[in-house]
Amino acid sequence: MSETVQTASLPRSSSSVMGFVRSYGIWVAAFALIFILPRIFTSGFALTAMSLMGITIIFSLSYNMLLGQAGMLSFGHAVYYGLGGFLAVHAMNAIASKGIAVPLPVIPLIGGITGLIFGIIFGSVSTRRGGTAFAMISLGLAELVASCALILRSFFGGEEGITTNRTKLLRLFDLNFGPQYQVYYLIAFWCLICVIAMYALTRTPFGRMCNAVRENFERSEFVGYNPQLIRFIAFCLAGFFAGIAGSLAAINFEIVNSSYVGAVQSGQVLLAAFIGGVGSFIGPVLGAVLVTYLQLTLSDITEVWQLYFGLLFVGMVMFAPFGMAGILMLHAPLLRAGTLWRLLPYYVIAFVPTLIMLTGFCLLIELTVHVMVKASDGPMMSFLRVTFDSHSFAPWAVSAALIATGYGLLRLIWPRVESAWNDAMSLARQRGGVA
Amino acid sequence: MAATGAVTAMSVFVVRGAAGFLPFWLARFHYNFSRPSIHFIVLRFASPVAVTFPLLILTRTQSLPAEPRCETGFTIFCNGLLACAKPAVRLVRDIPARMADIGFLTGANDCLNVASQRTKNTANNVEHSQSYRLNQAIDVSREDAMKFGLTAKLSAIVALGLLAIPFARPVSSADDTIKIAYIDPLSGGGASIGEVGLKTFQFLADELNSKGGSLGKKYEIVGYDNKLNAQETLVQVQKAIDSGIRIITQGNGSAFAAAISDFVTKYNERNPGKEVVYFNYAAVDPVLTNDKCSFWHFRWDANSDQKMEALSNYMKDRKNIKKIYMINQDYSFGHAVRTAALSMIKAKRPDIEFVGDELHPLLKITDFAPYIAKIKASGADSVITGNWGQDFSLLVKAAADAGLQTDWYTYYAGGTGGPTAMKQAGLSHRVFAIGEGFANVGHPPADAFETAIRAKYGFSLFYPRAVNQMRMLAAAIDKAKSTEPAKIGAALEGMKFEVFDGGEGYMRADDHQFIQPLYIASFGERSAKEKFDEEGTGWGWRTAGKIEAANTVLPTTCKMSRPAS
Amino acid sequence: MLELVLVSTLNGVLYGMLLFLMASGLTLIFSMMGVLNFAHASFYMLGAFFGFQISKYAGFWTGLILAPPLAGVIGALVERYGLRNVHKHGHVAELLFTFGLAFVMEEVVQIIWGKLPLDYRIPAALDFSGFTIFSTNYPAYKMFMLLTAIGIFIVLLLILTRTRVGLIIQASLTHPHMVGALGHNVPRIFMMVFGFGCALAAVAGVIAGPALVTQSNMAALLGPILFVVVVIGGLGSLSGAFVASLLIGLLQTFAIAVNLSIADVFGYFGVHTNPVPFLSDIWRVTVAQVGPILPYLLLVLVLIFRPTGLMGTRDT
Repeated sequence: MSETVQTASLPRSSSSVMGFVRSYGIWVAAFALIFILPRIFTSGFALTAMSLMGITIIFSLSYNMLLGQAGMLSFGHAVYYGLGGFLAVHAMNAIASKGIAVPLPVIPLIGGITGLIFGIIFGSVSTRRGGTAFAMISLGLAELVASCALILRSFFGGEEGITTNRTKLLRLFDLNFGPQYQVYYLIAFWCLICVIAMYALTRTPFGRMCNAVRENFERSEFVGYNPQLIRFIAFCLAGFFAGIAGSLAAINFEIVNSSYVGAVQSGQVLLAAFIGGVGSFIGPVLGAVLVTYLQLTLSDITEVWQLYFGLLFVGMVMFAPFGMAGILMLHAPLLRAGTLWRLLPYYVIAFVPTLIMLTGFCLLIELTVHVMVKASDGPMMSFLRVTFDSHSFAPWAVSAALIATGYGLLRLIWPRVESAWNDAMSLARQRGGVA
Repeated sequence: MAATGAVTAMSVFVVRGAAGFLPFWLARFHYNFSRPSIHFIVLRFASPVAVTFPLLILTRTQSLPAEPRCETGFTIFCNGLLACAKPAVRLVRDIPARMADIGFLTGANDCLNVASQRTKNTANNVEHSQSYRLNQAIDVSREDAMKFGLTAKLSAIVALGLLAIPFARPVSSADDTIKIAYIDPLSGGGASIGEVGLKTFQFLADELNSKGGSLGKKYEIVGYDNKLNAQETLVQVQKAIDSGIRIITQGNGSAFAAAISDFVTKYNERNPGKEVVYFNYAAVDPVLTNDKCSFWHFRWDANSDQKMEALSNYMKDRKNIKKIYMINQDYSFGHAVRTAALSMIKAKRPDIEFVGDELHPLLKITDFAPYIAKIKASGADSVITGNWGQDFSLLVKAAADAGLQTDWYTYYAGGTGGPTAMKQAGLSHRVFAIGEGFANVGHPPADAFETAIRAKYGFSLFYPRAVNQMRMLAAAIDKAKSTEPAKIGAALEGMKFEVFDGGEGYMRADDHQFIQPLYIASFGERSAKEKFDEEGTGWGWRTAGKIEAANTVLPTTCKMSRPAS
Repeated sequence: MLELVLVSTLNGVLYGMLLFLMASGLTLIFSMMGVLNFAHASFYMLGAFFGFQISKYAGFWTGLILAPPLAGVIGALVERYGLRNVHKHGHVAELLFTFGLAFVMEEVVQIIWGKLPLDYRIPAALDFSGFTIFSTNYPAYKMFMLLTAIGIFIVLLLILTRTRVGLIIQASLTHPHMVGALGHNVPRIFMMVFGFGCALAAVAGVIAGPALVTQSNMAALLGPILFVVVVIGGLGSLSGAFVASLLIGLLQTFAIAVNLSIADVFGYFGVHTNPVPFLSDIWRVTVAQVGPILPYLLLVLVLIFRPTGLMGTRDT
């Protein structure tokens, strides 16, 4: 393609500028976005939420190095996250008490190195096997470390964990990292570096070999690389980045406890990476943002937020195992061929019955919860700002009707959407696709 | 203000319009306009936004009225997007023809081929995702891969923008109500306890509001779910502070209490003038009023050392206690119980022999039979335990199964599930518990309150200390004539108050620990004097002893730094 | 001392048999489909809750008879409409599906029955003391649990090895395509085996419910131990699961009975000071405190040194 560009007589100097924009435009845009966001959303809670999203982005991307790139499903990735956080906190306390001249922005590196070391130790044991055995080993190791966290009290701090003060380290440029927005910028800076590093890693031969090992372990050996070593290195690097994420979390909350290494934390990162999509680089980023956001706000809206999470996860596994990014990627050829706009109206038409059906389901779940769990609150409840009596027949009938209508309409419309998709695809192929 | 607004709006309009022309201007100089590419689309979206943003932010942030700025940001973002919409639609319409002319998609042929195959063969597909195939295509050039990723990244940015919606939340002005944030588990495993606490506090707020509130303002309890997680607790505290709440209360879990106390202290230090105060109604780790004390933390429950002091004062007069076995949960509270028991009882009754000292993992044991076997083998006649929740119920159940005949001295036998387990085990008046109040103490106003709360909610009053807390808060606000946390704190220090079950207590100024009379009660079959039963079992509490407040006082190592008032 | 050993042995064997009831179903399912069912412990929990609900209206024994088939039917439906659709996306997706399912089931149970422990009683017919060892009463109900578990094991073994259905199932384990070619409906066999495995877990739930706490976190408490048992015993081996569950049961029960720590051991040899102050926690921790994590330690060791498990037949 670049050949055809040259033949169109472009001035030489500007093509290098365009080349720069082409290659790095997205990173510049991300850089700008990160700087602008706190100006837009200034409430303390929004800053905390964005800091959390930054941390979860690094964590999910590091998890995807294992799951998406190298094909290793791990149930215990939070071990490296937590251990990175613990060592960062101990380091911060030691540095503050001894007055060593180390500024706060360097601390995540300490967490990263911890993650790397423990990744080497545990990885040498875990990565000998793949598939289900690897998943079980990771689960066992995670439970082991989580239980040890309550036994080795001087390091893990027992139930209360270990607290620290992030303002007591060396101050550079008069930044004491007390206010939340300074912490946000620190996290955003490290997030950008880690994302760039992990993306660069996928573009190296090592990254490609990870993919090869994922696809066919035996065959990839014939290329000349040792697939077990590849897995091991991928594991260690994933531990490194997870440690960075953990130490950033430690800096943000100024407290680490045994829940950082627990099974719940491992489950969360699995959820985030999977919902976002393990098949692409951007997937875990999307998943991290969405899952963090849902976790923070869903519990205010409904009491059974965990049920919704679980249903979302099961739904994704059954119907969209490629995640959100995978769905977006499916449409990329259409976008390029220009046929996406043909499909969009059908999507909009299909969106309406889907929304109806989902509303019906949510209403049903909320009704059940209200009747069964919150019986002492009385019969009146509210859903989407409408108050009604949960013990009467009407809301149940309404929810059943919504579900039935939505499903019925969807069944009618779906073949149209399918044929529209096929048309768009074949048109795209005609316009420039199949060679 | 209005003039500035008008000028700003005009400048936005002008700038936006100008920014819309920018990519065309760039295109003239940089490359052939008849060859639009994905990168071009990016530029089209990005440039008006990028130009509009800084200008608007600069002009807006200078005027700084106290209105939420996040909505402004969202408006700007939407404006930017809309500015690009029309030219983008035109562009997208033009692209197909242009691209076909130039064979634009030669490099991505393989991708499209595979993609269309996939839509037909989903049933046979065992790959995890399409992009693997696409990136594995035989010669996907770096540029093509970059473009491919770009589309997704673009959608990501747009999606991120849409997430702005809930952040555009206005800061509420809470001047007409006194809001108290209640941060405890409201979902999942600990929710049964958390919800009981929330309803208790709401009941108390209603009671205070029916008397007119304080300083003409009504009380409001806002519940936040901490999901039994320390980070989540801190996030919820941040949320509460964001909503303008200045008083936080929590109790379930000393670990979370320590996290909140630490956070509140640091927050108050870093944000003078916006202080918040933390009322701890149930977390009994002694360290919170000793080494880790803070001016902003007030505790209304006797800490575990004080309770053991009271318990040991009661036990020293019971001559039938000769051998004690201790079994506790292996965490800070359990450790505190056993350390205090060992030192205090040995000092008061050196003749008592400790025949066992057991620590088991917290909330993980399902079958306590091995532990009961050990207790039996040791020949103990009394067991001291700080177990609560399921650890207590299962322990009692296993003891009943094995036919263990000992007295039980506990802290939390009255917790949810405890009375049912004790009734099932048939241990009538063999289990003793210590607390600041029980249902059948016999103080008429307390009985009236108990009847009222049971009638409304169906559960018994677990937290007489919450009653003390709320009533003292009202008294402190009245005394300080202000709802500023610093003034409330100063008013509470040293305050004497009549407690729920009769008698007087006071908030010690040195460490912010409330000193109050404590009661020992045993659980079993009721006599005529005992009106209330527990959890529908028919059995109730019978007061076995009362420890005066003076006999629960312990020295403190607290050295708190007070705000300069 | 002897009393402690005997009681601990009985308790350990009992706990082990309970684990085996669940692990047997899990092993069968894994051998058949290659999917490690994360939701297995959730079916155990379902069995307990169904048993409780039925026993409230019709007595414990009716619950024992009706609850497992009910749970089995739900399991079969899960396989037919859930797992089968996910199967084409690979093993990882199946594992994740069962993971999400376990989550959802726990939530649904919490909504319907609440989060507090339920009052599931031992039936009056069994609510007496079975026998007395020295001075400790051993409840008859626990003997009943033991006998039921052993009985089920024997029945399972007989079904698998002596009946026609068992032979077909064994054949489907290793040669599903051939069995299909011979005219058997292999997907339906898979569905039935899945349902049967879930029914086994439900039986464990119904009989363990009164003895242990019937609460919505039952699955989360027992789930990880279950996987440890299955993996240590060897993925795919029923007798391995039996040996491993007994081993884990005895190990955990005996560990609790022992109060030794490293400091005590060294103390016998006259060494009283801790040479490494940094690791003082490990120095002082007793075996009893460490008891619950011993299974995981064993899991990691077994997976390092004998990756197919103690008696495993199948490499994953």
